[in-house]
Amino acid sequence: MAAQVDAPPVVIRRAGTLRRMWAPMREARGQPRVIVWVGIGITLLFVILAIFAPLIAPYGFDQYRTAEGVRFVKQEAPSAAHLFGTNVMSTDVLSRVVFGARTAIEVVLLSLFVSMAIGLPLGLIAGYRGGRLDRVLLLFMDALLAFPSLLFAIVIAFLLSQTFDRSMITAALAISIVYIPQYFRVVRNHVISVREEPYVEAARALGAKPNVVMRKYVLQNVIQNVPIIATLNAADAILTLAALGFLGYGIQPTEAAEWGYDIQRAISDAGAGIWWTGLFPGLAIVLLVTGLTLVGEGLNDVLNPVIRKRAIREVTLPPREPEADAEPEEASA
Amino acid sequence: MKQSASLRRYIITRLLLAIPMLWILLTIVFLLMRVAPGDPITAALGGRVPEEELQRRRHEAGYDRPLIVQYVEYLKDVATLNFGTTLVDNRPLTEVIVQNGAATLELTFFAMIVAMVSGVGIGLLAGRFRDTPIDLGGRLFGIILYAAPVFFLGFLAQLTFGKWLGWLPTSGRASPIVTYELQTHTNLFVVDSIIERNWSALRDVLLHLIMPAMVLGLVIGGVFIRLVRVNLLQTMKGDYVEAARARGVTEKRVVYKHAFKNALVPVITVMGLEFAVLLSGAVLTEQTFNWPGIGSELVRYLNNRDYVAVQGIIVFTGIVVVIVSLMIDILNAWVDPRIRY
Repeated sequence: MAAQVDAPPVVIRRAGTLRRMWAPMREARGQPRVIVWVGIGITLLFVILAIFAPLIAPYGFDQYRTAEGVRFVKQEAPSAAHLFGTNVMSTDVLSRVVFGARTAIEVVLLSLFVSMAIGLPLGLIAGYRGGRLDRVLLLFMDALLAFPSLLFAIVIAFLLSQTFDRSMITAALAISIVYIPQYFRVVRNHVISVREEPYVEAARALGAKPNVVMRKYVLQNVIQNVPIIATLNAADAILTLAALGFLGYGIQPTEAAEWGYDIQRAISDAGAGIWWTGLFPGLAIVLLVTGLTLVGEGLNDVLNPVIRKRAIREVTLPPREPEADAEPEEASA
Repeated sequence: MKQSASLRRYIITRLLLAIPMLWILLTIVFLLMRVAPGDPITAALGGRVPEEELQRRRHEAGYDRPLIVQYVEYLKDVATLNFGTTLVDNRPLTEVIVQNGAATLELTFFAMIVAMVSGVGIGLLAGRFRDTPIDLGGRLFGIILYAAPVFFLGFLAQLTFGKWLGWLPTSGRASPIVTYELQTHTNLFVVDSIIERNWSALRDVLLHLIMPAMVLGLVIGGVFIRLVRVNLLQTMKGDYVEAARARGVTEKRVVYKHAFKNALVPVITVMGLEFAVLLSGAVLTEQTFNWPGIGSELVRYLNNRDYVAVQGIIVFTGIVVVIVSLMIDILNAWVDPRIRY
């Protein structure tokens, strides 16, 4: 309370928020701690693959012949020259898996950014202002949320591809449509519960403008949940991107390597017993999505007060003296 | 008495809320389909039919009228369940819905059974034995299932059970002969072959069904595992569970008699959301296994740029989704008396 009246410099409060957000991570013990760190490890691995893709991948993602112009053998089993074999397009599966990480991470970051940039402010305003605006937006978002998201993404991707090329940006936009309602809902509901808290009321009573209240007091509180949703959504977005690619509405195959598209091409290989063309891109999806989910799940365990286990909680408290009965008497006296 | 009255009021309010929701969905679909460049006729048939013919058909279908008139017409059509006729192969959309929709229904129904059995079972075990290897294993299984795209699991299943072991057919709803011979009553092949008492057909149909239904069901089940586990953990912290423990009720009884039922209530809510996921998954599963469902048809018509067919399928899906979420909400309110307006 005193801190608010004294109005400490903003910089300090920022650091405080960050530290407060990080604190549960340090306090976490047991399974959640392991889960979060394993998840972070896997995710980092793919980030490294994505950043250094040209250095790690032995060939280009659309390269189908050697530098000397000799064409790669089509659907060749894994060998020393092609560790993961080659696929039906004569391209190197390993290289496509590595470059696929780059595509996935780029598209997902872009789509998360777009959906957050739209969903967060809308949820904040709708929740804080309430009234008709809130009701209309809620109805609209609920309608979007109820509908099978993949179908929406397919149709959007299809329509966008009619006017623009099937590029990374169209894929990212189609995916972000899916997640806008989710951010909106979570943020709005949280804002509504926070809106009536005493500290928000206090800020209002002190004469803070609605904008300031929303930014400084409400958002600061609500934003704590965003990392959980964002990581879980990132995991989901990778699946949506792969699904779009699988159905042929993802990124143009000449523009980037994409795991879902590769699996689609591999489905017909299954009948011939060719396993390497589908297995490796599929495993890449499973690993990256698992990694992100572990981070999100772990964070949830760590941050959700209902199910979290903290280091502090494990300590048994000293037996209490029967002062609990004495207190009300003191207060009344 | 009072209880049932408040439930009735809830149902009526919820019904009234479903109408604007449906209307918004319909409007979004309409706008999306009209934002696309060119009209449906040109998109579907352009380049294949002479310009005058295009002009005539455009006029016939009313695409040269003002948007608002088309919009009102469209709402009227949907209200009378008139979804039109596809442009590329002149099929009434009701036929697409009845025939291909039945294939999707069959697939999703069996997938849902697989999902419930695997999801609730494993989730319950994981929650019951929290922080033990069983819990970790169950959770990891759930996460990996969630992380695996349906079509990737399908690919692996086709390789293993189709190619290497040779146990199961990898594509279609039934063998060509069965499809040809089987008398259709409901378009649900399982039901049809039972009505016909054609047991060899039933065997064939079920064999075709196993892989797609298992793959889709397991993926959906992965979500249930997480959900049931977390809910069980939360209800296990409830006062009444504590009270039951204090009375000396065995842990096993506490879990199965006291906590389990309450842990399942939120599962019903999520089933509503999962239904949408199920449909999304069905599109991918159908595509993987050449299952002639409504999702395969959607993709086929999209590739042929048949806007009328796409719009019809999406609108139909929207109606189904709204009805299902309505039913789940009512079911939920019936189970949990705290949910009322």
